[in-house]
Amino acid sequence: MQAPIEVNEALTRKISDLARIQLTDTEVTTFTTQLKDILAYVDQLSEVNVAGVEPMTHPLDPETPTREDIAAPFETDAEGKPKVLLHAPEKMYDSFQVPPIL
Amino acid sequence: MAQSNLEFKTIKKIHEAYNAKKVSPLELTQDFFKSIKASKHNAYLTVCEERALGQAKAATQTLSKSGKVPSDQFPLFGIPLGLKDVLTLDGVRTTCASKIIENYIPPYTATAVERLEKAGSITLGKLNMDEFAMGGSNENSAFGPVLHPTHEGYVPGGSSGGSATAVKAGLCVAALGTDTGGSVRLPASYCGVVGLKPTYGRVSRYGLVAFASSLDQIGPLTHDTEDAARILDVMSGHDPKDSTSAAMPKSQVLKAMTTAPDWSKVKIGVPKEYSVGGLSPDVEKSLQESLKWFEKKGAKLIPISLPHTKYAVAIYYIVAVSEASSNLARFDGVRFGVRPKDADQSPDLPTFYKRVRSNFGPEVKRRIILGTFALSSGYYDAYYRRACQVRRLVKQDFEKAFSQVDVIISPVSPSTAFKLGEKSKDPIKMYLNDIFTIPVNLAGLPAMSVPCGQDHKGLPIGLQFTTPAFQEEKLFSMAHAFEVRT
Repeated sequence: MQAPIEVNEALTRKISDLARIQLTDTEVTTFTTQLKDILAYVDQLSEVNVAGVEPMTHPLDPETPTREDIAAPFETDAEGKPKVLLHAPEKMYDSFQVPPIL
Repeated sequence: MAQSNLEFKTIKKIHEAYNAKKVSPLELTQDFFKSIKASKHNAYLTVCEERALGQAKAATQTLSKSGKVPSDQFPLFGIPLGLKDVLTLDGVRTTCASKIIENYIPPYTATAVERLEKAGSITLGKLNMDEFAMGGSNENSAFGPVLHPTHEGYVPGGSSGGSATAVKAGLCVAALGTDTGGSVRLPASYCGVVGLKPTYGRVSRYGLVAFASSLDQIGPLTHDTEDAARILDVMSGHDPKDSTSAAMPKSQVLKAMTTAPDWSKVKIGVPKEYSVGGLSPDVEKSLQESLKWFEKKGAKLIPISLPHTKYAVAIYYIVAVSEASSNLARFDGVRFGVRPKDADQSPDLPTFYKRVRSNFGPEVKRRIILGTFALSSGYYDAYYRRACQVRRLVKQDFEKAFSQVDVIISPVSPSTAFKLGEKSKDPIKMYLNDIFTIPVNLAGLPAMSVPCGQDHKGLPIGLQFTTPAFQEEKLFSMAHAFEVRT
C-alpha cells in the first residue's frame, strides 16, 4: 500500500467537488474528521495478503448475459406524451430542459 | 369486536377468514387504514388508499362470486402489503426517504411488486426507510425516524425500519424491504419479525432504486417463515429487465418447507469468529439455547472458521459506497426530482449539480464522498481494488465452510435494538452492527432472520440462518422447523 494519505479539509473539498456535492463549512469539518476515522478503520485491509487474488466485483459467476438490442418505444400517457417526461423538473417540446450552460 | 387486521395476521389465517366469510378483503383493508391513521410510528411515507380500496373492492367481488379464495391462481389474493419506499409503483410517489426526489412519481412498477399484485396482493402504501437505504437505525430518513413497534424510544433498525415496524405493529400483513448489508435482517431482528435476504439474483432488481448494485436484494419482512415463503415463490424467477437476475425459474420454497429436515443428517456450522467477544450476554445466551435445540433434535454442531469476517465491514464501506457514488450520480435535477430555485440561476453546470445535490442528507453525502474518494485516481488500487480482492476471500471462506456444513447459524446482530440517538454521532459504531449480516451480501448468499428470544428488556433477538447460493429451499426448511420448534 502507498504512503498514508493526509486527510484534510482541502481533500474533502476536492472530493466533494468531484462528486458535485455542495458542502457547508461545518459539513467540511465534520466530514474531514469522519473520513479520517473511516479510512483509518478501513486501513486494516492492508494487512491481508491479496497477492494473486482476482478482485470480486460481483457475486454472479460467470459474467452476466447480454440481451438482444431491440429498439422499444417509450411508454406514453393518455395524451401520447412519453411517460418519462411526466415528472421532469422543467420540460420543453417533449424534452428535458436545463439552464443554459454557455 | 377486534379489528380484523389485528385478529387475522398471516396469509393463511386471512384466507381462512375470507373462506369462512368472517371478513372481506374490503373490510380488512379498511381496518388496516384505520390502524395506519391511528399509528404514531411514522412507518408510512405515502398511503395509496384510493388505489388499495379499488383493489380490495375487486377482490371482494371476486370472492363473493367464487365463494372461495382462488389461491391456486392468486396465492396472495386480497393480502394487504406495504412496500419500502425504494421500490417503484407506477403513478405512486417514490421518495427513497430523500428530499432530493420527494416529488418523484415513477412511470413504471418494479418487477417484484408487479408480480405480487398479479398474484392478488393489495398495496397499502410506501414505507419509511433510511435515506436511499443507507443506515442501520432508520434515523436517516428525511421525513423523520421510524419508531420501534413495541419499545418506545428505541430504533426499529434499518434501513427497512418502516417495513419491520409496519409488520409488527399490524399496519400491513407483510412488507417488502431491501437488503444491501443487512437492511432486511437487522430491522427484522430488532422488531421480532421474520426477514429474508434472498440469494443475489433470485429476485429482479428492476424498479429498485439502486444503492449498491452488486449487493442489493429485495426481501420480505413477515410474521412467519410461511408468509416469507409465499412471497418469495411469487416474486422470484428470471426477469429479462434485470440482467443480474439469475436465469432460473421461481423458487418452490413453500412446498419444500412442509418436509421437516432429517436432523440426523444435518450439519450446522457455528462460526467461531462470530462469538468471540462483542456479543451482548442476552444475545449470547439466546444463541446458545437455540444451538442446544438443534443439537437435541439430532443435528451435528460443527465449529467452523470464517477468518475474513473481521474485514467485512471495511470491505463493505469501500465497495458499497463506491457503487453508491456511481449510482447516485443520476440524481442531478435534470430528469426527475427536485430542482431548487437557486440551482436554476447557476452560472455553470457544475454549480447547478452541486446546488441540486446539496439536498442529499448527511449520511448519503458522507457515503458519496467516501465512494468518490475510493474510486478516484491514485486511490482506486489501494481502496476499491483491494476491497474487492478481500471480498473474494470472504466468499472463499463461505465456500470452504459449506463443503463441511449445510447451514450456518449465527446471531443477526451483536446486540438488540438501541435507543434513538445513541449511535448516530459515530458512523463506525453504527456500521459495526452489521458485522454478521454484511458477509452474506458480499458473498451473494441467502440468509434469514428468525426471532429466537428476547433480552432482559423484552427486546427481540434474531437468529440468522445462511445457506449456499440458491438453496432457499434448505434455508426455509431449517428456519421453519426452528420457528415452530415442535
